[in-house]
Amino acid sequence: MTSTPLKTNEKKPFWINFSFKFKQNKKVFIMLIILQLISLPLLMIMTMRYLSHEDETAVINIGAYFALAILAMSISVLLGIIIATNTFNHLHKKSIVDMVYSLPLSIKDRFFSNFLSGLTTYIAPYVGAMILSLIIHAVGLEGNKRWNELFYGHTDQIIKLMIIGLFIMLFVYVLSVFITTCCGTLFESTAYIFIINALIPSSIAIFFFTMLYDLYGISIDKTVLNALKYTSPIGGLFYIGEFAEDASSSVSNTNGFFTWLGIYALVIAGIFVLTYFLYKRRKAEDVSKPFVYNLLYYIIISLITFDILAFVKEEKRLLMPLLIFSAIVYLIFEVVKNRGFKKIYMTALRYGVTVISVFILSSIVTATSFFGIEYYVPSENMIKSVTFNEMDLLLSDRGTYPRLTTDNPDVISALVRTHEDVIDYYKKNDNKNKYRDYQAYLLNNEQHFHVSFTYNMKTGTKSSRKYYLTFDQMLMLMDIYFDDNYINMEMENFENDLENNDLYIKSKFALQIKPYFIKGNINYRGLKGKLISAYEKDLREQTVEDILTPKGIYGYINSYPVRTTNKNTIAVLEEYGLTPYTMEEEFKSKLALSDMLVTLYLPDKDTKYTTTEYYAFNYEKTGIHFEINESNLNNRKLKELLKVAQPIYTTTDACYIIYIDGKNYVIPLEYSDLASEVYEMFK
Amino acid sequence: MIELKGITKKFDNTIVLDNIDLTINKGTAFGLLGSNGAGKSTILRLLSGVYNQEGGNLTIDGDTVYDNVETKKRVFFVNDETAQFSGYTLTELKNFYKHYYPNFSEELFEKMRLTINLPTDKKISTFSKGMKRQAIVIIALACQTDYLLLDEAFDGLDPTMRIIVKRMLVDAMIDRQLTTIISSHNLKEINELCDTVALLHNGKIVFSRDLDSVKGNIHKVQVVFSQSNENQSQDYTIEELAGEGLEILHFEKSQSVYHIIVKGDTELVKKKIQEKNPVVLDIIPLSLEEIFIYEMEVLGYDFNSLENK
Repeated sequence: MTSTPLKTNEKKPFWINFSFKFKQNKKVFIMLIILQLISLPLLMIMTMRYLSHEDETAVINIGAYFALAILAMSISVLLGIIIATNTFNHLHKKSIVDMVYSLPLSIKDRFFSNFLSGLTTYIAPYVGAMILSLIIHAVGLEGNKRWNELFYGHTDQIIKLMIIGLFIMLFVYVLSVFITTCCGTLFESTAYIFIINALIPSSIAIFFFTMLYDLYGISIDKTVLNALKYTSPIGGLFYIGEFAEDASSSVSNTNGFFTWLGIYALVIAGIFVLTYFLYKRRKAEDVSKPFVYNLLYYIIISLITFDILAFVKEEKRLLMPLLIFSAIVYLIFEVVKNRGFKKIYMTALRYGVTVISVFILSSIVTATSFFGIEYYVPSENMIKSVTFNEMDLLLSDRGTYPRLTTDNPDVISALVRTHEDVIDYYKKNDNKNKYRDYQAYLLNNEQHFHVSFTYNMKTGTKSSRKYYLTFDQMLMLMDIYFDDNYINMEMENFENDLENNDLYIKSKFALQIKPYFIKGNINYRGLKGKLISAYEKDLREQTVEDILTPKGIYGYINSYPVRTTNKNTIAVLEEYGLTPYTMEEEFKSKLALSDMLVTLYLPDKDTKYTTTEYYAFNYEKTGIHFEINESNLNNRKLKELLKVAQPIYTTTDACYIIYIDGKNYVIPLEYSDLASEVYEMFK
Repeated sequence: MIELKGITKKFDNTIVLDNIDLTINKGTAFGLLGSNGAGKSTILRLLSGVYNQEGGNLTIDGDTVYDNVETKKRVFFVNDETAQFSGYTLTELKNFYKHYYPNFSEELFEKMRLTINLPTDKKISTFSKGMKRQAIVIIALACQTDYLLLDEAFDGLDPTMRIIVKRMLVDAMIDRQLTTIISSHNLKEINELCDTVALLHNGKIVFSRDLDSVKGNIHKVQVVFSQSNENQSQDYTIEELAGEGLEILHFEKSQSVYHIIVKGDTELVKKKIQEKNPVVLDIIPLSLEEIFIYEMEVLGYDFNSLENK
């Protein structure tokens, strides 16, 4: 029975295995094609539909499709787990071990052909859906203004978002292959893929929230986000949120995307290399062992124990309940892994070591202030830009919290110096707790300004802090007011205000509103345009003195102050006859409704700054209360005093302050004699 | 030629093969015998590159096997599982293997398939256990490797199919000097197919010899000794007989008849016993199954003790 072999089979073993595995995943591949078709392309089509219909009914209908698209996307991402476990089924399916391992196929070729075959099955439908979506996007809505603005202007961001999605899927797949390589049964593989996906982000979050919560100035949520976004598929989802926020920022950190992508890709590559190393070391006979590499199991169970016990740091009374709870969880994991109560004394021993390790780690973190992070101030030349996430503006009546990103070297330098000052101030003070809570400032009658900022480093990483600043420290940050990005942001707010509201003009006392200009007025658009350009010109021309010690306040456009030095703005207002009430008119109008109780405070030589900011510091000042009514309004001295009272003013001079209708007005030093006379008059 | 020198294989801390030396010449039909857990399948997995040894050297024609693609192309391993092929049709399975083995012969495959009449278009999951075995055996033979490793390969085959498959194997052995290594608990098959056997016990080789010398070296002796003074046959204990230089594997006395299993040259055994003046002396050759049972009994693997429990 001799026969001649057919020499037609010259296909490389790598590709034989690749196509064999691809066929093995055929059903999942078809499912993925369907799911991907109803995810990205559907999202794109529904967005087009949303932009072409503005009625609410359409939005509701579209919502259901959006939900369907998101669901399809979620399922297709999760299918990566099935593909990974199915492609590497010889790692947990005993019946095929001999067949797979005895084939004339090197370990390297087997691993890479399996890996790439599974990856192709998983990613190809997504890439196809990406291309289809981009074609839909390119065709777009011809002539639709919103589509043009929202989408054609953001094509690069849409592509980047899709790439983020691609890398999240890649992470899911690589992590699943890693766990499958470390486990020897389908149960352990599947269960621990889900566990590790949840455990990485939750452990990072718990670690930072429990270990850093009492570190001075550390912005935990931002720090957690920074740690999360590189380290897990779920972290990648968090990055999508940050990316969307960053994309809408005035100074978009375009470097951030590539940095994230680079680090994320490095983490994935690291896991991939480790997986290959472990796969090469893995023996055929390891199949059916729950864990081939026990270290992974011990890391996981230690993290779970840590996650439970970490809360003891915050609340010591929870020690016993959490110890009991963690011991039970530990025991359950051990029983499942060992398939019964085997060597229970070893379980007890391991649990003990884990608990001790958790407490040692906690102590090290506390003792070293998280390895010095509490006092760390980055070097100026390492910072690309800074983002003020939340900030109490000095001398602002509007109380807005702008989110401002700027790469202005002066602002960066000012912030670093302020940060260093904050740390020095904190280090020198014994009562450190008072700097953590604004209530402490209030109790001490100290002025405080909340600021939360993020350093966007040149390396692409971020470092966030939040502090309560003193008045001196706030003054160190005055450069912000002259930053183009700040002015642009202010102008954007101003423009939006005028776009969405009627126009109100108020005097410096802002007691009454008059005159106003209804948004629908035929002349409004022309006025708005002129006001915007005039106000911007004035903002760009203002000096530090104009900001801190203006010569006077002409009035307010809605909530935006117009200083008497803002000549351009005042000219436009006067052109349109939009001059505010005179002081007499305004007070008369107000007094027609009721008398007004005012307080005149004596100068306080113990306070460094006399300012209109906040009210808390008034409580312990000495002053007199008196009423303003129609008769004393005609008092020449009082009238004079009200004229010179400044609603926006900060000085180191000890000045009188008059408190009217909930606001402080500083009487500049040169009018102290006048104030003194009024004080004596009404005493 | 297959050479195992000082091979040690461990599963975790358990030693499965303990410093084994074994040589299998090319063209041999080699039978692996042994109790359950003796290490027979482990040897086959080492030879097919499924496992890697912890100690020693294993070579096939001078080349290592583990992660060596070129060597593996010359070896085909048929294990005792059938579940792995269930998802494929016979044609798909053939197409899968033919790309891996450069000497695969479609012609031979088709010829064998027609002989045993296997369908090509049905999923193998619909096959009976015997049909699955036939399928993988004909694929293995069509791959035309130099070495064929069979682990309980005839399990599930009906008697007719056993004969057909065996004939195919024998043809391949004759035609192209196929070296076959068979591990089976069915000693009849080993007896029929193999020319050399090795007995394994607890991870060690008890012996490795050609089958004829194994059979010629162990004998069942039935003997009745002459009567003593009181009209009774003379009694001998196992120690007394062993003291005469006989290597006794099994000793049993039923009334006056002794049933003794003795190892050694036939003539020498005959001479030693005749010195005791036996009345009756029969030396009967043992079947391979009997040899296996008595050898294992010596090694403490006594099935009688299991029966008595």
